[in-house]
Order: sequence, then C-alpha cells, then structure tokens
Amino acid sequence: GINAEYGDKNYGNYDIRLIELNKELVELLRKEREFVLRGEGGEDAVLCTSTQTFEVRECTTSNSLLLVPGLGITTEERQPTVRHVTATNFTYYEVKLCRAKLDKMRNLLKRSAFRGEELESSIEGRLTTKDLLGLIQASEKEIRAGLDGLGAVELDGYWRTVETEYLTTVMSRVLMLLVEKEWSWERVPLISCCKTLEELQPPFVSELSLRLYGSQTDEEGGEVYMRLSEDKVCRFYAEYILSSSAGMFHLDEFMEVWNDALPEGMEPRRNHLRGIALVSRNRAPVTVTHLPLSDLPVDPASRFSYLFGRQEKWHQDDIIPYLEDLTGPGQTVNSLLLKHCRSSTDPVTKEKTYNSRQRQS
Amino acid sequence: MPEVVVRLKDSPDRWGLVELQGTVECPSSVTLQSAHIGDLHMDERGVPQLVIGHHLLSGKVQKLDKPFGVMERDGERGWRVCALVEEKYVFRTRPKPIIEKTGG
Repeated sequence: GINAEYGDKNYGNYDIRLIELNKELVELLRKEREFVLRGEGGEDAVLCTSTQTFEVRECTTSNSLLLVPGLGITTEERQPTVRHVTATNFTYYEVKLCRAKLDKMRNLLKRSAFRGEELESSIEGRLTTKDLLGLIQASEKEIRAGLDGLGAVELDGYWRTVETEYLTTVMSRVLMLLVEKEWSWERVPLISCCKTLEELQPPFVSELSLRLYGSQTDEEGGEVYMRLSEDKVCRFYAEYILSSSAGMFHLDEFMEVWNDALPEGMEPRRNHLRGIALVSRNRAPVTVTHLPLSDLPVDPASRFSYLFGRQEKWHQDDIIPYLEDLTGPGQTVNSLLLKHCRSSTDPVTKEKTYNSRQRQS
Repeated sequence: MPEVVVRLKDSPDRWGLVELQGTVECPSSVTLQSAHIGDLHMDERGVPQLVIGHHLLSGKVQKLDKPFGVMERDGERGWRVCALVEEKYVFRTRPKPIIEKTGG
C-alpha cells in the first residue's frame, strides 16, 4: 500500500500544468524532443510540432487531480511506501488539430512587399524567418509551404513578396519581350530575359515572375530554360484585363480581348476564371464580372455575407471556388454551405443553388 | 513575441494521477506541506482502495487514451515536460465510513 502525503516542501508553490496529448503527439514529442507555443498577446496560443498546428484550450474539472510522482501500486506490495503528492490540479489543456493560421503572414508580407528598387528605402516592417516563427501561428513546415505558395523570396535575409500591381507590370514586360524576341512560351531563356530587362527591373523579379508563372525545363549552354504554364498565364491575363477595366464585360467581348492578349498557342478556357470572375447566368447577353478571391473576407460568416451581397443566389459550381481556401481539419466546403446557406435546386438545370440564411432586408 | 519552447526532459518520469471527486480537506491545524492524505492499496481483485480519514473509497485504474504531459516552468519563458501520465486511479464511489473497532 501507499501512504499518500503532501510531503513535498514545495507543494502549493509549483506551477505545474497538465496538457492532454494523444498517442501520436506523445510519440512525436519523444522523437522531436520539443514543441513550440506561438502567438502574440491577444491571440489564443497554438501548439506547433514541426509539421502541424493545434489550438490549445484550457478545461476545468470539478474533480481534484492529484499528481503523484512514481505512483504505481500492485496487489503484491506489502510494505507501505510513501509517495508525495506534488500538486493538485483542477485545470488541464486540451489540444485540437487546426488549420495553420497563415492569413496574418500574407498581410504582414504585403506591408513590406517589393515594389521597385526606387521605393526600397521607404519599406518598413521587413521580416526574417525568426520573426515569422515568433509571429505566425503555424508549424515551420506550414510556414515554409505558405511562403512558397505566396511566391516569397528571401532577400538579404528578409522574406519578400512582390506587390501585386508591380508584379503585373513585371510580368507584362516579360510577356512583351517574348513577342519581341519571338521566343516560344514553351522555352524561355531565363538568363537572357533577366539581362535584357535589367534596366527596367532587377533580375530577381524577372526570375521570380518566370518561376511563379512557369517551371524550369532544362539547362543548355549556360542558359536556363523555362516553360510558362498555360493555366497560370491565362489566369494572369484574365485578372489583368478585368482589374484594369470597370470590372464587367460582355462575355464575347471579354473572350476576344483575352485571346488577343495571350501568346500564340495558349487557349483561354472558362475554368481559368475560377476564383477570378463571375459569369452571369439567366442574363442575355452573358456578362463577366471581376470577383477576385483575394478581395474576400477571411472569416467564413463575413465571406458568405459578402458573396450574398454580390449575388442573391449562387449555383454550386460558382460558389465552390470562393470557399475552398476556408477548409481545414473538420471543415469541408459542404459543412460550410450547410452552416451558412439555405439550399434549393435550380428547376431548369437541376443543379444545387444557395441563398443566405440571413433575411434579406 | 518569440516562440515559447516546450521541451521534453531527457528521461521523462512516469507520474501517477489520483482523481477524486471534489477536494481533499485537511484539518486546519496541519499544514499541507506535511499532511498525510491517506492510504492507497490494491485489493486481491486488483481494485484500488483509498482510505482517507474514516472513509474507504473504491476506485479503478484507467489507462488514459490521451496521456497527460506534466509541464513545469523552465527558465523565464520556457516549459519542460518532466513526466508523462499514462494511467489514472479514479475514485468516484461514495466513501464508506470505516467504523473503528472498540478496544484492542
């Protein structure tokens, strides 16, 4: 038997916390030896392994949880031994897998985005890897994947994205050069391109734009060749045309302008407009309206509010591209639609349609 | 704000957890630092029994699906997981008063 005593002289003075881990996390902790807690004042803390992010929640129990080091009793024990209760807890932390919180990173990088060498001296708030690891509530792996997805590059130790408007100018120059030099979009010489445009823009942005809108195919004779992505360039021009006009076109007119802008051999398709524009239904002539995903609110309720503000009724295929970035563990597109919308069926096409749950005033 | 590291101790200990309903009360004359709480033993059936004061509580051993990490402070900002708790002794049954034998 065990004589349980409060024998520890520090009882009551220890700050001991209990954290509920699942078996995978225990194994991971044994392997990686450490986790990190991330978050600024005002944010709820998250726990990060090297690859995942977990929300941390404090739970209270009305029971007493007495912590006893080395407690282990069996039926065989005859001699009473003393064990000391080190602490009594009434709360513990629960962890729940969650989506990496990367929106803050996108916004912070926007503030220090590169927009031309002439403006570099006025740029403030540049961030290093260390800064990001302290500020962003995500695991290192998710942060790096996020940086990759944003097309960020490390310049002088700082992570920089390129400002959207400036990137558009940069990419346009690259695409115009293709025409001028009669280079195929399937085999663009990277180094020559950067060198030719050197007076207009730093080589790193020419290279960045080619890597964002294409991929490397091969190296030959000291030159690196890039193949542009038809999908990405089509989307680039769709966005370019729509954002520089009043934002609404007749579809026929738009397709013509779009086609003219594209390099020979690239064919624009309707699904290139996913997350960029709305094509009207039930209207003649058919219109195309600019609706970029990047303009939308991040919080699901606000997003639905905005979308239904733009259009009262949405067909399933049209709304899905504007919801995919909100998904994560335990949150699918369908669960979002179920929560925020009333659904019905289009009598003509038999497709599912959605309206706001809120009363329209 | 820099990240806060939660580090696992080199050889984490195994701690036990005794879960009781409500709180354990001690007579005010005794300080908590050296109070004897009770006696814990396993009966022949493998059921843990806890004697506190004049009460006998029967409990059970529960393996934790989600083990607890025990975190203690490590320096000014860090935490150290010094132990893991993988099972608990839960006492939920109503205490049975123990009648003292008279004489002897």
